[in-house]
Amino acid sequence: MNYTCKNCGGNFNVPEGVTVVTCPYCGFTVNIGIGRLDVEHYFYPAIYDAQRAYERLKYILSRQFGVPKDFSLQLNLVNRVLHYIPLYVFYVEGKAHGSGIDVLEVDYLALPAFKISPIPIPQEYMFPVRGKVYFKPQIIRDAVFYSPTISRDELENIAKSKLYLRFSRELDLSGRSIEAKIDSRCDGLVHYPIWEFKYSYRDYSFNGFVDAVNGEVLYGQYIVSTFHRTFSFSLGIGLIFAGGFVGLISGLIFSMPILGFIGGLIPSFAGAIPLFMKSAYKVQTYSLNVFGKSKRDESLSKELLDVMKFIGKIGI
Amino acid sequence: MSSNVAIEFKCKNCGGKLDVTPETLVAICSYCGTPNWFVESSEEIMIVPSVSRDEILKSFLTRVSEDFDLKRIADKIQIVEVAGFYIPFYFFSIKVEGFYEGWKTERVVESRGRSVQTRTRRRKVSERFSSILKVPILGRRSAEDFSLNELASHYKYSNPKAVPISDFKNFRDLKMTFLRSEIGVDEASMIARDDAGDIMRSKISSKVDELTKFVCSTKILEKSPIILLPYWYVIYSYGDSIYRVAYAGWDKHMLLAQEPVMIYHRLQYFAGVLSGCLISAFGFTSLFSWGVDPIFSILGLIAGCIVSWFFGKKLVSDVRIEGVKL
Repeated sequence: MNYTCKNCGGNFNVPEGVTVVTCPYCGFTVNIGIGRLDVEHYFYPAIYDAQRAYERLKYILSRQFGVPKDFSLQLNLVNRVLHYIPLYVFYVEGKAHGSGIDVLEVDYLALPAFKISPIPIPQEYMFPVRGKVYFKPQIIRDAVFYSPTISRDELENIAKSKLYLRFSRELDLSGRSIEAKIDSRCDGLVHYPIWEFKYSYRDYSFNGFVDAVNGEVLYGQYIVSTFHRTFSFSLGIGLIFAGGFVGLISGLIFSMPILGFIGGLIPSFAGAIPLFMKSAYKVQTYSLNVFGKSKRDESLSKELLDVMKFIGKIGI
Repeated sequence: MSSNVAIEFKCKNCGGKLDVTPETLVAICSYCGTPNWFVESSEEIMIVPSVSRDEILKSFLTRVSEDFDLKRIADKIQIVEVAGFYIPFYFFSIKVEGFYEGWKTERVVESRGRSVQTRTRRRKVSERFSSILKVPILGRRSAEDFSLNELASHYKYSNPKAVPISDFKNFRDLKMTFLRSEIGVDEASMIARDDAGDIMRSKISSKVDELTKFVCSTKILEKSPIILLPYWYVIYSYGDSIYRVAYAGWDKHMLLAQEPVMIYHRLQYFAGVLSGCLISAFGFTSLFSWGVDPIFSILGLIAGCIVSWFFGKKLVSDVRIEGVKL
C-alpha cells in the first residue's frame, strides 16, 4: 500500500495490515486506522542475521542433555522467517501517601500487543538493551510485520492489573488507611524482531525462535537419542534402588530397616523425576530460563529455607 | 527526545554526516574522528573508565588456564566474541524509616520430670526500623541483560572513580557501544524509592514467619548523576556449544560465567541426590529411635526430597552458572 505522509508529503510503502506508521523522512507517526497521532514508534533492527541467529540456536540445542552427537551436523534448515512483533511500553505507578507512610510500586512494562502471540515469548522476558532505531523501510524488508491486535487501552489495563497485585499486597500491609491510586502512561510502540526457524533432523522436523537483537534463544526443539533415553531411564531406576538401599543401610543403624528404606525411597523418586522426564519423550523442548530479579537467587539453601518457613506457617 | 529525523546530524568539527539513532549517546565522526555527544545540557553524565578489550580477553584466558574446570578443557576452548557496552545507571542513597508487626514461631522444650516435650508457640513481634540504603537503578526500560544486577552491586562494592564525560578521552580505542539512558532522574527516583521499600520489606520478612503490618516512608538523601558503567562479555565455544562470561570493565572482575557440565559434575549431582535420600532416611528413622518430636522426622523427609529434587534437576541440566558472591 502506498502512503503519503500528512506532515511532509513524503511517499512510502506500508506493509499490508499496518495501522501505525512512521514517516521515514520526517519521523511523523500516525495511526492510519483511527487517524489520530499516536505514540512514538521505534524499531529494533535485527542485529543477528539469519545465519548467526541459526548458529546460536544450534549451539544452544547441541549442549542439551542427551542430544545425539551428530545433531548439529545433520540439522537441515528448512525455512526461516523474521517476525516483527509489536510491543507497547508502559510506565505504571501505584502511589499512596499518608502521614509517615509511602506505598510505592512502579514498573516499566513492555507488553506484546497480541491476543494470541505467534511467538512463544517466555513469561517475564525482559527485552534487551541494545540499539533501537527510527523506522526505515529497509529494516522490515522480507520480514513478517504484525500490527497490534489488541488496543492500547486494553493493554494499558493489563499493565495496571499486573502492578495492582503487588501494589495491593503492600497496601494491605500498611493498613489501607490512606488513599491510593494507580497511574499509567504509554511510552511508545516498539517493533521487535524475532527469528523463527524450521529445521529437520533425520525424519523429525522442529521449530525454534531466536531474539534477533541479542541472539538469545527463546525456544527450540531437539531430540534425545535412544541411547540417552534408555540410559536416563535406567539411571532413574538405579537411583531409586540406590536411594532405597542407602535408606535401608541407615535404617539398620537404628535397627529400623523398613522405615529407613521408605525414608530413602521417597526422595530418590523426587531426584529421579527429571531423568524420567528426559527419557519419556523423544522430542524435547528448550525454553529460555529468564534471569529475572527474583529467580537469580535460586539456591539450595534458599529453597530449603522457604519450604521450612512455609511449613512453619501452616503449623504442623 | 524528538522523533524528527529530517534534521541531518553533522559533525561539529568537520561537518561530515553522522549516523545517528535514538540510542546514540556519542557518535564518532567517520571522517575526522571527533566525538559528538548527544546530551541535553542539563544532564550530568559521569563515566567509569574501562580497561581495553585485550585486557578483558587476557583476564578470560588467565581464568581458563587456572580454573579447576576450565583448565581441563583449555585446548578445546575457542573465543567466539568479545563485546563491550557502556550501560547507564543511577545510584541513590535512600533513608527508609517505619515499623512492622508480625508473628514468630518458636519451639519451646519443656521438661516435666522425665518426659521431655516440645511445643510450638507463636509470639507477636513489632519493631521500628531506620536504615540508609544505596539503590542502583538501570537507566533503561524493560531491560535486564545477563548479570547487570551483579554489575551494579560490584560497582557499589568496589566504588571505582568516575569522571565527567567531557574529561573522557580514550573511547575511540575502546570500541564500545554507549547506551543512552531512557529514564529521567525523576522516574528513576520513584523506582529507587519503590525498590528501597521492597528491599527493606524482604529483609524484614526474613526475620519473621508472618508479616502482618509493614509501614514505611522513603526519602532520597542523595542522588547520583547518570553513571556509565563499562560491561564486557566474552562468548567462548567448547565442543558444539557456546557459553558466556560477563566482566565489569573497570577492574576486570568476573560477574557471572556459564560453564559446560562435565561428566564428573553429573556424578557429583548423582551423589547429591543420594545425600538427599540419606538425610531423609536418617530423619525418618530417628523418629522412633530417639523419640523426638515427629515434626523433625517429617521435616527430615521433606528436606531430603528437596535436596534430591534439586540435584536431580542439575543432573540433566545443560549449563552451570558460576559467580562470585559479594
